[in-house]
Amino acid sequence: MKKLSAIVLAAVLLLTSPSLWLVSSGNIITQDSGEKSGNITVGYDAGVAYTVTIPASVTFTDSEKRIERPLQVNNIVLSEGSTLSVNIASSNHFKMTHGEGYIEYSLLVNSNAVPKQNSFNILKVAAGEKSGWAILEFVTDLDTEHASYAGSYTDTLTFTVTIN
Amino acid sequence: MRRKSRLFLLLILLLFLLLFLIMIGILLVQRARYGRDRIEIPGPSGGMSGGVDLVLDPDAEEDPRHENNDNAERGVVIAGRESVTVSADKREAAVDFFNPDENAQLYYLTFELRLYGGDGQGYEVLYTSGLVEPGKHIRRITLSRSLEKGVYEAVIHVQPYRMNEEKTPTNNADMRIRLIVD
Repeated sequence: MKKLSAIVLAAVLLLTSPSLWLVSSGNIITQDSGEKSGNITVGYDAGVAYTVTIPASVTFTDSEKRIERPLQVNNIVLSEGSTLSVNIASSNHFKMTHGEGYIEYSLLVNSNAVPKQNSFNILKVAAGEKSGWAILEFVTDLDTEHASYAGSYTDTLTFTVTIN
Repeated sequence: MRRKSRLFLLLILLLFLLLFLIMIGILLVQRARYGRDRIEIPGPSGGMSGGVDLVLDPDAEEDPRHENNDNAERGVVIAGRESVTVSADKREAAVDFFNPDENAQLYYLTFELRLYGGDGQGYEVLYTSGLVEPGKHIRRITLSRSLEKGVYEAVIHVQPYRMNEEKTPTNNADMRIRLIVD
């Protein structure tokens, strides 16, 4: 009888013990006597990184011929001594096109006119700065002299980010 | 009498076994629910204890100014890097092309890895992705061909698309990088 009771109790203990490690999420902590010491190295290898926020689009209307949009670069981590530059380029030399027709527009960056060349620098951020921004101002008089047909006149801008 | 005692002990054993199985079942169900449905808000100490269950409010709606007004919308957020490293003579490469959470409900992104020739001779497309949803990453790519060891001038061309039915393309970004082949 005693032998059987012992077997039953042992079985109960064996069955219930796994539930303890399930609840404790599997961490096992042991302790023994005597002082222990040690060293660890704490480090992080920060790679060059940034996020740039570009205007998705600009839509002129008869009542909106001057539109401001921000360009932002945030969370900047650069190597010491390097610089992040953002250039802007228009696929149609700052003309919104539709077939053969076009409507011209111009761009000001922080109130300075941007020449209508292939690629123009609009922002520079030096290493150590965490963010940078520029205000882009798109302006048109919606002159339809060269707009042959009705329709949607569009242009696409490409923002090029370079780290030197 | 002795047989009865044995039967009694056997019953107790079975009862404990049943209780144990029920306990395991409850624990597994709780763990599965915890990982799937629960949003935790850190308590005052910054820990996760004392969190509350939250659900999305069905009454919350889009800002109407963002629906039909291109000039009121948020810009496209694009994450940049300085370099991408791939192994020589292998087409598979580990990268991290991702669409930041800030573009949620607004923009898909596509990624194109372009290898530039010298003297402005144009570029060769080594990889083109499909649409990447906000919050998602592409971590492994297969290049159109393998490269020899060296450092190459390359560009990650990022083209955003609106998350509308037409998936209209927007302005885009080129990130000049060093393509390191080692």
